[in-house]
Amino acid sequence: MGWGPIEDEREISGGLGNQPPGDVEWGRSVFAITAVTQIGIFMKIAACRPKIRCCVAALCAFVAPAAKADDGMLHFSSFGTLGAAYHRADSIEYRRSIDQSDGAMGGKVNYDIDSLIGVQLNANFGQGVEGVVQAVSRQQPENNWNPKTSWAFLRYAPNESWEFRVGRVGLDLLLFSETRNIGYSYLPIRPAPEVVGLSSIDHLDGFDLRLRQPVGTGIASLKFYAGTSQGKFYNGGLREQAKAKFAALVGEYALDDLILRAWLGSARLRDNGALEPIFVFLRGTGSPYGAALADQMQLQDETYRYAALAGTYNHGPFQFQAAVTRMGVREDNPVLPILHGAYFVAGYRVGEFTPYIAYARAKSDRREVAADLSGSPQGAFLKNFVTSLTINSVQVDQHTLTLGLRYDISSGLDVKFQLDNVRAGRTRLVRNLADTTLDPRPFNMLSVALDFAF
Amino acid sequence: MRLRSSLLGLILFACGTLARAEELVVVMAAGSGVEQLSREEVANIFLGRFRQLTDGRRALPIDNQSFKEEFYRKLVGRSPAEIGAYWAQLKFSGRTQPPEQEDESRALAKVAATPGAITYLERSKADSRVRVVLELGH
Repeated sequence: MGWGPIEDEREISGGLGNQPPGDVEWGRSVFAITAVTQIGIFMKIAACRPKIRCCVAALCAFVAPAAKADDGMLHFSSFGTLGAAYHRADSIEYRRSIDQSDGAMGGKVNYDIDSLIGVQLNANFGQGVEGVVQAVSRQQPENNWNPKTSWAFLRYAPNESWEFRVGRVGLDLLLFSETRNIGYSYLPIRPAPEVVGLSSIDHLDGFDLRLRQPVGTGIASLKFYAGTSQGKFYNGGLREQAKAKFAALVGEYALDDLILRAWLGSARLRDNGALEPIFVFLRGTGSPYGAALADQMQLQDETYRYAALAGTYNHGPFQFQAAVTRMGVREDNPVLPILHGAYFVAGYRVGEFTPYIAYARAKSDRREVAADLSGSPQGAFLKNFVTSLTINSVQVDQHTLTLGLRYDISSGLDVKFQLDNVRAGRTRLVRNLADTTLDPRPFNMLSVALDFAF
Repeated sequence: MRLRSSLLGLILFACGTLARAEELVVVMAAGSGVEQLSREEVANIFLGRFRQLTDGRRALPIDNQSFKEEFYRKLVGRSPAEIGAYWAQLKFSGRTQPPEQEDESRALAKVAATPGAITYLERSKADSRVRVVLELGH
C-alpha cells in the first residue's frame, strides 16, 4: 500500500501546526498511525462489497503518495449519539427507520433506536481533489451493529463553481437525508421520522455534479445526481429493497438567513425486491386473476417519482425549517402508493438552551387492486391475500408532535430531552405487535440523547 | 472598605468590557488587490457557501480563535453551537471543510503572506501588512 514508517519529518504536517517542537514528531507519528489504522478499518469494512472495495482501493491509491507530500493532509473526525427512549404503550413497537430490526417496546427503555457511532476520513490531495470515506455503526436490519460504509467517494472541485463527486455518495432526497445520522447537526433527536425514516436508502453508487454561482446577494446552486441503489429493510424479517437507478435535480438558493431547496427526481426500479416471491406465487397459481394481480402490482420497470420543497430560516436566536414532499409510482399501482409528507421544526435559543417544537405528518393515498378481480371466488381470495400481505403493510398514516430542549454542553457536544406524541394509523414505523391488523393507539414517548461531533 | 473594593471591581470590569468592545474588522493582505467586501460576501466565504473572490481567486478563510464567537455573532447572528452544528452538517455530508483555526498572530501572519487569505481581528491589531475589507462594528 505504500504506507511505510515516517521517514520525512515534513510528511503529514497538516493539523499539527501549533505544537511545541518536542511534541511534533510524536504528534505526527500518532496522527499517521491513526490515519493508517482508520483506512485499514475502512478497508476491512469494505472487504465484502466489491463496488466499495474498488472505491476505497482507488482512494488509498491516491492517499498513499499524497500523504508523503508536503501539502497532503488527512483529517479524521467522528460523530455519534447515545440515546434512550421510553414509552408505556403495551405491545406497541416504535422505530425511527424501517431498516431497524427492533424498536422501542412499551414499558422498556430502548437504547438502540437512536444510538450510533460513525467515523470519517477526509484526504485532501490538493488541486481541488479530496477523498472521503465514512462508516457508521448502528442497529442494522440484519439485527446486528456491524459498521457499514455510508460514503466513499472522490471529490473534484477545480473551482468554487463546479464540484464533481464519484463513488458512493449520499442520497440527497430531503433536508436531513444526507445527515440523518449526525444528531449534533439538527435540533430534534429524530429528524421527521415519518418522512425520512420511510426510506432505508441513504446512499447511491454513482456521481453528482454541482454548479454554484452568486445570484444577487445570494448563492444559487444546481445539482444533478445519478446512480444505483440497493438496500435492506426489516418488516417481520430481513427484506430487500427493489434495486433502483436514480436521477435527480436539486436546486438551492441561499440568501442571508434563508435557504430554499427543491428536489425533482425519479428512480427506475430494476426488480421487485421483497415482493418477488409473492409475484412468483401469483403467477404460479395458473389463474388469470393471479397473473392480472401480479401485473398490476409489478414493481420492476416502474418509475418512482419524488418531489420536495424545503426551506430553512435562521435569524438570531430563532430557527425554522419546513418541508413538503410527494413521492410514489403511477396512480394505479397499489404497492407503492403516493406518499405525502410534511414537517416543520422551530427553535428559539436562550443562551446554551434551545427549546424546540416540531411536527411531522405522512399519509399515503391508498389504492386498491382492480375491482373486477373480485368477480369470482378465486379472484376475491387472491385479492384478499395480496391486500392483507402487501397493500395493508405499505400504507402510511402517522403524525408526531414533538416538544424538546437542546442544551449545548460545549463545542461539539449536546444533550437533548424530548417528548413525542405519536399518532399512527397504518404505518411501517409503529406497529401493534399484539395484533398487527389493528392500528396502534396514540402514545407519548420520552427520549434523551447525547450527541457528539468532533 | 467594601464600597471601595466594589467600585474598584466595577471600574476594572468596565475597563475590561471597553477593552473587549474594540471594533472587529475583516482583513486581507495589503497586496491582495481586494478593496472591500460586503457582509454577504464575507458570510458566503466563512460559511463555505462560495469561497471565491470577485477576481476569480479562491478565498481562504481563517478563524481567529480569540474572536471567533464574537465574529459569528456579529456577522450572521449565530452562536458557537449553531455554527458547530452547521459545520457538522456540511462536513459529514462530505461537502466542504470549515475554515482553518489559528491563533491571532498566526492568522495575521498567514493572511499577510497569502493573497486570498482572509481573517478577522480587532482594528488596533490590523498593521500595515493587511487591509481592512469590512468593518463589523463594536
